[in-house]
Amino acid sequence: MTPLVDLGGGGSTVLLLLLLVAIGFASGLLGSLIGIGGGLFLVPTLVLGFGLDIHFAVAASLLAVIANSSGSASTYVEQGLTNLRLGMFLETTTVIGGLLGALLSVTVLASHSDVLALGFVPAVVVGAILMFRAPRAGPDPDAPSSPLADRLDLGGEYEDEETGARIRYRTNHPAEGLSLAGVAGFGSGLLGVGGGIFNVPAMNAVMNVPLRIASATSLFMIGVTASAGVLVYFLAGDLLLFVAAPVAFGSLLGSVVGSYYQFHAGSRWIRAMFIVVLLVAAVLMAARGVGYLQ
Amino acid sequence: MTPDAPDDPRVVPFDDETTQVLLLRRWVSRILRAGALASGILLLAGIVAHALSAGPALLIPPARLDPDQVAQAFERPSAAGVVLVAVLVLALTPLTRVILSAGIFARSRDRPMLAITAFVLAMLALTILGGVAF
Repeated sequence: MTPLVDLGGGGSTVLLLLLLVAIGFASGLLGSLIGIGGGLFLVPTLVLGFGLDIHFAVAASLLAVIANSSGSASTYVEQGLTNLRLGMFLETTTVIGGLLGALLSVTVLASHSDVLALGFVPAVVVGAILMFRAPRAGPDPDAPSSPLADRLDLGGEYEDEETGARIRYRTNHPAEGLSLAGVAGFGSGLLGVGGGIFNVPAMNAVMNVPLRIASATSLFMIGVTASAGVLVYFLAGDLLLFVAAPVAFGSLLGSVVGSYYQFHAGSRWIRAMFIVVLLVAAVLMAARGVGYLQ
Repeated sequence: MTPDAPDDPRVVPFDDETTQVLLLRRWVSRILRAGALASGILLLAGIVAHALSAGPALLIPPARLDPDQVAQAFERPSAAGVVLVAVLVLALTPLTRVILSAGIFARSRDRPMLAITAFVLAMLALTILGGVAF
């Protein structure tokens, strides 16, 4: 017999669907503006606001991340903001990480939602800290070269927003980048976050990738990472169709609107607002994890 | 004249790395946009159908990726069936663009990048095959 999940305690179906679309829209918009998938915002909202088991929330969030990635990355790829070769190179470890994280969640942690909820807390806190630190807008011209990155041609060029000049950059530390991308992928599969919150600083600070390129490339990568994860949850029966569908649809709309504004709102006030939301979510998820909040 | 003929003015010199990047950009963005558009339309149709047919409480059966269920979705369209197909289209869009990228790298004989995309493809295929077997 198919188990049923009652979401919303008798609320109207249409209202609930609209609410889920609105939440998806907000996460897609924020994610596209900041260069992340939006899962850090979505999972706590679905768990705390709708009382969903975190496994269902993670699966729905991963689908929304794919929607966000497909919706916004298509624009950024077309405009040449995405470093495709670098993105595909880093996907090798994000996919493995995403698979392992999702497998851990649906097997060992299948009946330990409290552990997953608690696991979300450090991810949110680290994410907030990474967002707080000032990113480096342009590449370091004195960055050392890397034979592997040069051989794979992982560098690129971008248009400087102020001068309009095209500036070439070379990437370095590919091994460190791969390791960090793998960790981001693991977090994505386990907790339903896109991983962009870790990927962007890793590319920007470690691999010498300009911020706008790192954000666009991360949005491109997280689709594949989330795809690996969502298939695992789907196959495990953890995907609630009519939770995931409206959230993904909203996220798709939000990402299209967000990509129109193109990281303009990487501005301080949106980041500050997002950090506050994340920290509140971390506290509530911790309370949920230890049983203070149902 | 076949499109691959060397004297065909339409033929793009594939040894040119910039051409490879431009091709990647063009096709990857098209695939992502098509996947997003198709899944968006299907998601909207399924959500509206569900909203019109459901009762006052939102009772949701968890979905499994069951081949029979997917076949049923095509034979007897329902809100859940349409959403199931939308979810599959969305989830497989990144996989499609990896396949396409691998094809472009193969044509331009970019072996290191072909190996990288093939590896990612293998991981995704392993997920699907392993999950279905499990």
